Amino acid sequence: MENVYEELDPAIEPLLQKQIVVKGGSMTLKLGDAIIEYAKEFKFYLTTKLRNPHYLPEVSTKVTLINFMITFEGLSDQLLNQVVEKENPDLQTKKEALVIEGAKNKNKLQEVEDQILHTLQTSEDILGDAAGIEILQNAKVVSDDINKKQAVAEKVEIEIDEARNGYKPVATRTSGLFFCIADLANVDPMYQYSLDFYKGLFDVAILSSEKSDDLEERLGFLNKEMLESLYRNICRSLFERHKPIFSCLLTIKLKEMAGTLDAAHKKFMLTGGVSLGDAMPDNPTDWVLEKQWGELNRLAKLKSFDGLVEHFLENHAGFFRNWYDSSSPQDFEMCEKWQHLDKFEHLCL
Amino acid sequence: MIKGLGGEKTRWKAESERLQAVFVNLTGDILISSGMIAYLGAFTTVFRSDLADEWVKLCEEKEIPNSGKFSLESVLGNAVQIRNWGLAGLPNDAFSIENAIINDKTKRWPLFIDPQIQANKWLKSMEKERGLKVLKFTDGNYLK
Repeated sequence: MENVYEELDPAIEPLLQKQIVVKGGSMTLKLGDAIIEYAKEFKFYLTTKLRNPHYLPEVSTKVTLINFMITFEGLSDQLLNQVVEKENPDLQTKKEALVIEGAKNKNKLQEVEDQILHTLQTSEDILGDAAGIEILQNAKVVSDDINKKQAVAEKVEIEIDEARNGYKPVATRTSGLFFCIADLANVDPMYQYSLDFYKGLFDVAILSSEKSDDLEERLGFLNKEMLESLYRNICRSLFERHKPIFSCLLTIKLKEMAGTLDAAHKKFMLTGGVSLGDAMPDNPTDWVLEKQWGELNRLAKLKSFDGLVEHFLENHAGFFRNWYDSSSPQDFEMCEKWQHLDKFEHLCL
Repeated sequence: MIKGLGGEKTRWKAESERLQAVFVNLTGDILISSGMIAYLGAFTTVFRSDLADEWVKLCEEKEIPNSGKFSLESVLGNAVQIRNWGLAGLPNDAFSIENAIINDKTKRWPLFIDPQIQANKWLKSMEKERGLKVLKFTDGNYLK
């Protein structure tokens, strides 16, 4: 049953509750007006496309809710597999083969054990039973062999995991970017992108980005290509006025993931900080509005803006006034005291 | 002959010791697994594992033996089955695999919250051979 909403049709109640009646060896179920035969192998799945459904307790107790919504960790894992599969197909096939072989070996070992026990139990005169002894000998050879194989398999598995870990940064980064485009739906409900589309983009990026034998370098190419192609492809479907928002989203996300963005700074950028009614010095100028003055005072409390208010009080007529009047403030040369700030922090200022 | 079976002896001994340990821990492990299957399907991985960790602590307080670090996949998972699910299109991250195990073991019918249609695709390809029928509530006569 696909695309169900938050309410389930009461008609399927008997099925959900498994109200099965056993009559004369056959199982039946009353559904609607009809009594139908119920097969033991029957399975019933429900799926919903809702992102964040709320199911009443009545429903939750009758079904097992399983959250298949893509998460950051889940997506990173999937993308990691995707990139390893493309970059290093051998590894992936090797891993697959290992799983199969491991299972086979386990079964074989079991067989060998059974054989040994069987021989020991049924043979009346074990010492005189040449066939029995031979079986035991063979069994030993087989199990030794399997043990050796298993040891090799374990080693290969460790190797594979190591190689996979190398690609982790790309996977995490790409996974983070996906949630940027998922966020675009909040800007305009028209902006919907499917996971398949995104994975397709990633595939293309893997294939078309520049190759390199150096893993570090290759990761760089991958990241660059993915970001560019993502931006190109998404922008094609955005209104002009939403493009800067998208760039900004991407930049903030990347900075956040790289750990170069202070959460307090981001919050300040978005809200201008919250006034707590703290005492602050009087505004020394007539060109800085009260609101801006408050913001400036709050900014001074954040990391790397120490002494901002004092500096402003001293220099408001000089550097700050010139900067304020400049027609291209983004290119204006920072005074010495604030040169250590990065671009985002300049923006705050 | 005794020499021939010597290798088996060490292996069997190790195996029996391992089973002994697993057998003791079974109580706690299965308790937590059952709780997870019954209650935690609706939550995200992080939340699930946080809760599982708490449960492990609770188990230790009440002196219920368990293997310490809980993982649904290692208690109830079966590598071959998981691989088959993967072939049918189950995304191969730990979270999805956990979901699939819950789906496999639960007694109630599963309801998948599935905005990216990943579970839907997986189920369709897995159950194709068994004659899966896809219905919607909006199909007027789906009860038939």
